Amino acid sequence: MLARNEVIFKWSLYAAATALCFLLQGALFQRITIWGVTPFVYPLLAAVPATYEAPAPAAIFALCVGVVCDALLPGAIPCFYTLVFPVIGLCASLLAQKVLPAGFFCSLAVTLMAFCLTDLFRCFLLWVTGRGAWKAGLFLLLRELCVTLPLSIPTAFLYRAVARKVHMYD
Amino acid sequence: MKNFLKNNGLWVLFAAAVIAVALTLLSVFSYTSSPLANVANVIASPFRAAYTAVADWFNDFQKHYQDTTALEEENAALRRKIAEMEAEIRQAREDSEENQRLKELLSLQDRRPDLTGDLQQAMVTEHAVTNWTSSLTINKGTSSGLEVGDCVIDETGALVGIISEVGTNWATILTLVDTDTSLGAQVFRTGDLGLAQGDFTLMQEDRLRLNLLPADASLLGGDLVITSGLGGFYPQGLVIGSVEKVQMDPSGSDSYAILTPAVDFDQLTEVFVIRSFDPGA
Repeated sequence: MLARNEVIFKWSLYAAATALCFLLQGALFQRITIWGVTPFVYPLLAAVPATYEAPAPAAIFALCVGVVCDALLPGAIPCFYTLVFPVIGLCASLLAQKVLPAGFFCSLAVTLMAFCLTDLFRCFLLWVTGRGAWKAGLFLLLRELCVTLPLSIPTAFLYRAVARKVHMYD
Repeated sequence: MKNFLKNNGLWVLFAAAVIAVALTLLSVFSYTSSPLANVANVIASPFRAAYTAVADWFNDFQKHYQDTTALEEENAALRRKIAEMEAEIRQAREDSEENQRLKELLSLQDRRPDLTGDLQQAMVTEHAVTNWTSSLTINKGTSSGLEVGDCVIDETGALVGIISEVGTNWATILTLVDTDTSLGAQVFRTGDLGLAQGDFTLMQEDRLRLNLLPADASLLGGDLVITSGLGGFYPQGLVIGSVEKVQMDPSGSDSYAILTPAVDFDQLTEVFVIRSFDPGA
C-alpha cells in the first residue's frame, strides 16, 4: 500500500504525461490530415495508462480524462467522453490483468478496443437522434484507427516509463 | 699583403684609376650598361627574383585573406538583407490578402447595411478538433458580445455556421455541414423553401442536404441557396451554397438536394459574427 504522498506523486506524473499528449494533439496532430482524418489520441489516453494500474483507479483516471475532454471538445452529448472513457479504462485494465500483460501488444489491443467503443457509441447516438449513418461511421472508425494506431507505440513508451518510475519499489 | 701594398701601392692606385676611367668612358660611349654594372646586376638577378617571389607570396596570402574576410562579411550582409526582404514580401502578401478581405467586407456593407451594423470580427484559432464534427474555434467570446445562436459569415456574406458554445474569449462555431446544423433555406431562383441540414455522410465530403422541398420544386445544378430568414432566428439572404445535384429519398416519396457550401472551411482565417440584425429588413 503506497503512502499518500506516493499516490499523489504517481497520479500527478500520469496527469503530466497526459497533459503532454493533449499538447501534442492540439499543437501537432490536429494539423495533420491522413486519409481524410486527423489523428485522435484522446481514447488512447484513457486506455493505455489503465493497462498499468488496477481497474478501479484506472477507471477513475479515465473518468477525469473524459471530463477534461468534454470541457475541451465538442461532442454529440455534453457528457459523451465522461460516459465512455471510464468504461474504456475499466476494460483496458481488466484486459491487461487477465488476458494480455501490459506492453506494446496490449497497448495496440486496448487502442483498438477504445476506438471501437468510442466511435460505435457515436454511431449509436447518431442513430438514436434519427441521423443514423452506420456505413459512413464505420468507415470513419476504420480510418481513424488506422491513422492513430501507430501513435499507441510512443504513448505506450511514455506511460510505461511513468509506470516504472511510480512502481519502482513495488 | 702589407709589404705588397707598401711597395706597389701607387701602381695599384694608378691601375684602379685607369680602369675606372676606362669603364666610365665605355659606359658613356656604349648603348648598353657598363660591363661592371652588367656583371653586378647579372649576379644580383637571381637573388632579386628570389626575394621578390617570397614577397609576392606573402602579398598574395594577405590579399586572399582580406578578400575572403570581405566576401564573408558581404555574404552575411546580403543574407540578412535577403531575409529582411523575404519577411517584407510575406508581410506584403498577408497585407494584400487582408486588403482583399476588407474590400469584400466593404462591398458587403454596401449591399447589406442591415447586417453589417453590428458585426464582430474574429480570427479562427482552431479547425475541426474531432473527425466527427465540423467546427471552428474563434478568439472572441462573451466579452465581445457574442452569444450562442449568433450567425457567422465570411467577408463575402456567405454563411459559415452558427455559434454553438461561447466562453469569455472563445467561441465554437458549428459549420453548415455539421450534423447538428439545421436552418431555413430558400432557393434564390425559384423561391422554393426548404430546410438546410447537415448529414453525417455528406459531412465527410463537406456537403449538406436541402430537405423538405416542395413536391413541384424544379431545381437545377448551380442554383443558389440562401437563408430564408423565416422565424427570425437568422438573417434572410445569407448565401448557404449552391445545388450540386438533386436526388430522390430512398423511400421514393421526397426529393432532396445536395448543396456545396459557398465557404471553404479549411481556408478560413477570419470570420464575422452577426451580433444583432433587423428581422424585418
